[in-house]
Amino acid sequence: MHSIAVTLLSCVFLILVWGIVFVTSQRLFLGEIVLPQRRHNNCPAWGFFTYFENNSPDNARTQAQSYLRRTVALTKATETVDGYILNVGTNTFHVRDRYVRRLRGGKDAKSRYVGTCFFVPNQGMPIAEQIATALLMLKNDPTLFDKWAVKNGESFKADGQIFY
Amino acid sequence: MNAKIITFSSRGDTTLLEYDPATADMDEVNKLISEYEAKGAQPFDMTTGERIEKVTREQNEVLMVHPVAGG
Repeated sequence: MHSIAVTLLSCVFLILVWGIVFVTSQRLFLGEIVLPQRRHNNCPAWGFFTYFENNSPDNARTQAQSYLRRTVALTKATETVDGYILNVGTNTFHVRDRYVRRLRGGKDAKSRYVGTCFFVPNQGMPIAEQIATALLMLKNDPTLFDKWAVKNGESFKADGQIFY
Repeated sequence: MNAKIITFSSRGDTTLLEYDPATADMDEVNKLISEYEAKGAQPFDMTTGERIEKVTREQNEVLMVHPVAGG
């Protein structure tokens, strides 16, 4: 009975040591210069659990939604049932997941396009952050819409390079 | 309060660099920005939403966005 208790305690101790070493090595090898957000400095013993909490898909989605909300406010975009309306100068865009439609503007010759797809080659980036990226970029340079549109029909590799 | 350079990633937002804007070597900060710009990323001030050319001590949060492709 005594040996079973000792074995169990040893296992618990080993798991704790592994957790600490794993979290530390991840931070070192991934080259994080700084501490990740929402680190709980007052409860270091929970670092192992916090690591998984901060890197869980749910947490990534929450962070992404938070940045999207901030970007929507910064760009003065308006949320609709199926995307976001963005006004930039004489242009009005409707931005949603990987697709932008121009609702108004673009009267010059190059601007015959009504809609275009867009994508961020970074694999696995949450959709909310992809939309936030497009909103920020279009707000600062609405001519990007035409640059994206002229690429219509081209196939892309995962790294964003065009297939020829 | 520390300033941060962040980027979007598959894990949500990721902090690339955190520094004290009062004492940091801004040339070093901008050097890091240049390295990411060379890969196509663009820096935006998350206080104003404006694209920035150079990071100054006034910026507290800079977002490096990944290049967007059309198609």
